[in-house]
Amino acid sequence: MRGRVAYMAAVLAACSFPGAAHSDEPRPAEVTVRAAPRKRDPGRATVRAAEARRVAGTRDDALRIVESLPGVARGGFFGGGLVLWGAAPGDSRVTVDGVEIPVLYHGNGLRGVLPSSFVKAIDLAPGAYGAEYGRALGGLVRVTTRELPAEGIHGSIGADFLDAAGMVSAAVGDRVRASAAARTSHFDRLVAAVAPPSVLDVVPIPRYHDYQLKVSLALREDEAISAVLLGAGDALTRTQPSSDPANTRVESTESSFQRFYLRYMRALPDGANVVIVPFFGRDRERRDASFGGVPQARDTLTWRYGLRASYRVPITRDVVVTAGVDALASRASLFRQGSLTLPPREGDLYVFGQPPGSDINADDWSTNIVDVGPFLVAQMRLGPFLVTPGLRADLFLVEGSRSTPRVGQTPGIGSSRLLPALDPRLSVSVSPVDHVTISASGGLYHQPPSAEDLGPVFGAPNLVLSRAAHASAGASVRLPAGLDVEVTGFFVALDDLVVRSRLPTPKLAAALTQDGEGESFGMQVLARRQLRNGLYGWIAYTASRSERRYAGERSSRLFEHDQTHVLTATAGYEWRGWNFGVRFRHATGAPRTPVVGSFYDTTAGRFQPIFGAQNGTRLPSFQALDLRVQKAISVRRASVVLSLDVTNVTNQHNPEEIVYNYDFSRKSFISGLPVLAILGARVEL
Amino acid sequence: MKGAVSLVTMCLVVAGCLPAEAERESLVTGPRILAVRSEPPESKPGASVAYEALVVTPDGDLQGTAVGWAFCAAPKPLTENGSVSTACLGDAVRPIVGASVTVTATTPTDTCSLFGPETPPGDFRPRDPDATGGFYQPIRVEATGQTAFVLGRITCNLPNPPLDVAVEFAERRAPNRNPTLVPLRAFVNGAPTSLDALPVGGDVRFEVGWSADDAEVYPAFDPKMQALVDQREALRVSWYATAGSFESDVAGRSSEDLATTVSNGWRTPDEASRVFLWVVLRDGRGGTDFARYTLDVKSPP
Repeated sequence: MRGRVAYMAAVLAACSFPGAAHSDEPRPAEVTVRAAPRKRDPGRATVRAAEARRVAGTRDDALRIVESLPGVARGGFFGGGLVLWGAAPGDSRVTVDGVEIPVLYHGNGLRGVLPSSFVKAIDLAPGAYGAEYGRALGGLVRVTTRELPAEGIHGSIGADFLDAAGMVSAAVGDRVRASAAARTSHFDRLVAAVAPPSVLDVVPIPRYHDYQLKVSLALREDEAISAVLLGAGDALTRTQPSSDPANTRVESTESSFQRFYLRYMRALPDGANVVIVPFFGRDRERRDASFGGVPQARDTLTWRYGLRASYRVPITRDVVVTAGVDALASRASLFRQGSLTLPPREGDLYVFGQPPGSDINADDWSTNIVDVGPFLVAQMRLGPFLVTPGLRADLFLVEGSRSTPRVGQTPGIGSSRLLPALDPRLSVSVSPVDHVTISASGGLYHQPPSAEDLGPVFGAPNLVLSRAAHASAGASVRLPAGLDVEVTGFFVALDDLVVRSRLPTPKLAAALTQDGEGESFGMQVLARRQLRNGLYGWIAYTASRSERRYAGERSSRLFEHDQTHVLTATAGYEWRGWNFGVRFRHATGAPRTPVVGSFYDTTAGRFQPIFGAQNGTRLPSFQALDLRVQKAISVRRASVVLSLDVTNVTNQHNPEEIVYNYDFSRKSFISGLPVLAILGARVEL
Repeated sequence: MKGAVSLVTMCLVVAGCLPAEAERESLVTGPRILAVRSEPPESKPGASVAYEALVVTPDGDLQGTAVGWAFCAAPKPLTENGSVSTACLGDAVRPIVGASVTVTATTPTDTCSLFGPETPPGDFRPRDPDATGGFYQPIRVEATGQTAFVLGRITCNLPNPPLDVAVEFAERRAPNRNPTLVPLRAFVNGAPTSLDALPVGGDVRFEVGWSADDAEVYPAFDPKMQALVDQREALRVSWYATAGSFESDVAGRSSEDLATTVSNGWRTPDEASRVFLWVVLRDGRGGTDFARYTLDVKSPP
């Protein structure tokens, strides 16, 4: 029995985390694995939550470890999302146990949307991943939830300056385990209590919450099912009154998501295993704003239904085949009102804080986007090579309620299209000598248009799939003293990207086109020391360049989130219940389009910028040194964990955006967080 | 201790994120084009319009300066967020005959095609109106090395309205009118005072107004409701002076606010001097009026 459980765990682990997973947690003494050897995807990194939350700068938040891994551009204080290997933030995906969620972080990145106590590991594949996943041009962040304790009642409660959280778990009999957790923020209220009211109108600090519920049921031997509910939400309201009615700003935003899924797993006697994950969820994003009385509104409600199922079976000693299906259906109802140019799209010319364009319109529409993506992956040992070919065949149904703008109460004529995509993927690994692995991966990737872009007034209902080709190659070396070094080069080609039409008078229902192209290329290094003698840490460095252009153009410009150098060095030391951590980060500033002059709009009474070369300058580079001290104290059956996180210890003034004076003749910067000390306490039972 | 740390932390957060204090737009330190008044402020294609520019320097008005005028001839692409295409800073213009602060010109006959909702034959996207339902012909103004644009409101049809809405709009629409400033009044310590005897280093409160009819009510097409809705103009007053500092650079009344006056505080210079003051009134639909005053700031006798 024990061997079979270990076998099941090992096989499932190999399925979920083929990358190098390191942990100081005790491992089973005996493991018999008949599955194929693990493949190594270049650039991929896996961090266990217990390790991630110790790292300085994460503030005990395991999900925030992603920003310390290679291949990831630094997100600014004003958000920006995940930029993996130069892909746009909306072009990468985040999954929890295989179920896609819309965001990894709350608001402006202060917290992850899952508490660390709910997370088992975070797996980052910035690109060139296998055929099991698709629908994205960029990378993939996979989060797996923690298995619940097998016995007893456990709980934790904690708070710091940002939020308060609690979790309880219990084992009911031998077969049922349950856990519930919740968290709510109070940082905005703390700032409001000690700072002038206008501060929250300038610095966006959303109020957030999240909650999780997990129930696991052991069925037969080597068979289990779990039900999981995830939810998270953010809200932000800002008002900037002004004596000038044209300068009065009011903004209210809300975003939330919920996911409910079942996860069925069974290990079969022949070494095969089955994983089935049906899910449904709801996403809501609403923004109501007014700038000088000009309304700006967006409201999107999306229902999502999906199924991820896979059957993994060893065919021979050297061949393991995984067949499965990844299906997702989403129905979105959307409303938008305001200027076409707000929010700005990648490629638009604008300056931070610029008022929206004076032209306004309104539209409401709905979309159905259904994708069924069967996939087949074979993992084969051919001599010294581990070859993993894969094929994914997606069939997208894209429907829109209107193909032209609304005229009065005239019923709209909808559109419906079937868009097939065939995505071959390949990964090859070889170990020419002990402790050295050379690997290469690549493939094609397709992404459907977003529901927001399918509106006939602000977008284009006839958009088709965008494409990407990923290629990567690298080598990893395991050195003495628990040190691993991995070097990876990557190249990503992007095609049919959705961009704004550059025409002053585009065709009807064609404000967006698919004339965007681009490339990203670079190399990354990860030198990582596993926990040994109390010392652990890593150095992650990425040098890259990401460019964009309109189809047919001979020259390219920098991508808006391009960062040439991103360096993160972390180290930690554990000693007698104390944990000391340090992290240093350096990142090249993001490109911005310089303002080279201005003219006066006498009708609005406002200067307008004259732009220079698009993305022709950069924000100054970012540096920050973070420290973390943690002490765990045992009090009878409880453990009290006290922590102090100090972010930006040297109080570096890191510019996050450029702001200009009234006539754009002088510029200054909005700085990011200064030195920020966050005390936290957590009691665990 | 924990409370003290949190307080310090919050203050640092606040101090670190805020941008530096902005410069004052109301202080005239060099040549500026402050406003252009079009008469009438809304015109049909082919109609004649008189334009008057308010060009100023720290030494007062430049009534005799050379001014270059030109109609913008390039609509802005969708990728630009500004009010005017950058092409109109270059050669994409039609020059207007005249080189003084006042000129008269005929609104181009194709203005509703270039800047309005009329599209070429075929299925093209009509341009979007502004929040007041208006379309505008940009006119470039160049003087003393400065470039400005005035957006002349043009009378065009609605973009793809339902038939009944188009009929109703044709019946109810009325061209915009310029608002008119009433004379400036000054108060020191609540008492009316003369503009030629303002105290050095003192606080003065100015008040200007307009007539109740200047905040016009007009029908505008609401693309969300696909119907006409009545809107009311918001009136804004911009203040400019060659010395001293205003409480607000711009003050005004929103469309819901029926008051017909605004006031603004002004800190007079610390030395006796002559100060030039300009007040510009805008109605949000291209209607403009402006007035100029000379202030004498004097030490107490």
